[in-house]
Amino acid sequence: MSFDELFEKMRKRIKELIDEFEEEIRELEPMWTADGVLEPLVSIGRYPDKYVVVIDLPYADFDTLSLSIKDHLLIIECALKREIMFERWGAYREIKFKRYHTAIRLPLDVDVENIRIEKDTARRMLRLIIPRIRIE
Amino acid sequence: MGNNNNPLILGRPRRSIGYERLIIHEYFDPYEEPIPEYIILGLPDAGLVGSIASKYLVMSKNLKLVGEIDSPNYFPPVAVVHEKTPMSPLQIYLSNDRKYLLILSESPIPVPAVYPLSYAILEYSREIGIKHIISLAGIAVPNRLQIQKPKAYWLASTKESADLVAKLGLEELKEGFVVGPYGIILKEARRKGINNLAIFVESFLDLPDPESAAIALTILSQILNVEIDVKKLLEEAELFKLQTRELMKQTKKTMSEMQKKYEMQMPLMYQ
Repeated sequence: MSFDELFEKMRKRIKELIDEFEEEIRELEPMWTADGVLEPLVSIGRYPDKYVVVIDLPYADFDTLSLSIKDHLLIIECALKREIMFERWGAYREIKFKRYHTAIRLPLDVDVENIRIEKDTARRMLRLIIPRIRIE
Repeated sequence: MGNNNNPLILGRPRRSIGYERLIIHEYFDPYEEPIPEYIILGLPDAGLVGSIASKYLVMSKNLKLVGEIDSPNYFPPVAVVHEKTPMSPLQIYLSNDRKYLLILSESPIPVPAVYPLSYAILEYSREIGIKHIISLAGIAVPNRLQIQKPKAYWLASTKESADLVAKLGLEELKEGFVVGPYGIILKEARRKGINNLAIFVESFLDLPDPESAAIALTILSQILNVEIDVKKLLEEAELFKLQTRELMKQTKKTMSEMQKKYEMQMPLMYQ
């Protein structure tokens, strides 16, 4: 094995370990914060020509929806139609949930200029169709 | 504020039965007449279809909590608290007319628990004289957001269970994979001659799907000949989705460990 191959193997393994670590951290994190921010559920499908990202935003006020992309990070923010509290939920009953926020790391082969956004206002869901580009 | 004089909703079990390091704790007499005819299963799976349907059934029909399933070997060290009472996340409910039992889980079934739990449910059903086990499940479809009315399929372990849906005009699942406890229960029920009917409704894989749960319940109401009004479930779909987000996130991880995406593959022996 050449030095370059060995280096590449080490680089891949380090990336895998970092990904595993980040995944474990994410699993332990609650999907909300004490100041009322909810992280939405996101479903990502990868197809030969595109990625399809579906974001579930129950109670979202789509008039306040904001999507932005910075350095392959898709940032989604949206307020709730009204504040939500769960009054019998143990130590967390006084938290008022007010808005959604999430940041999704996009793969490198996405065409960020040609993202199509579809809103399903009845179900309060978003569908993003993101074309894939060929990386040489 | 809660009234401290209220008793806990569960005390000491009347009977605890062990099934290979899994324990079913009973708080009722399963042999009292009328003996329940059905066990409904609502375990966390694709779109949480069974879980949401079960939760709604418990709430709308005011089902009575009559049992728990626990395991020091297979389940994480968790107690869920309801009305001041610590209990297992895997619970058994009974309808007021004793027609059916319902098993639901408030946490995903860990992969090592899938086989033992499936066997325990089958053995318990046989022991107390259940006629049919009915599984409510989602079957993930990639274009779910474009589907207005999800389609339902069925699969049965015996002719007797198949007869339950004979007149409902549903499509039989003829080829494919079923991953998770519902798959194990189906194949083991067939081997043991136990009646098991599984209803699969098209759903999201990893997003809660109350609409599909409503369809599963509508089919269940026809099978059981029991009225289940799903109007409130559909009206409160956003609330159900909000409340089940964390369970969906955990279930997604478990489904990934179970290789749930097998269900979207074509079997080798497909002809």
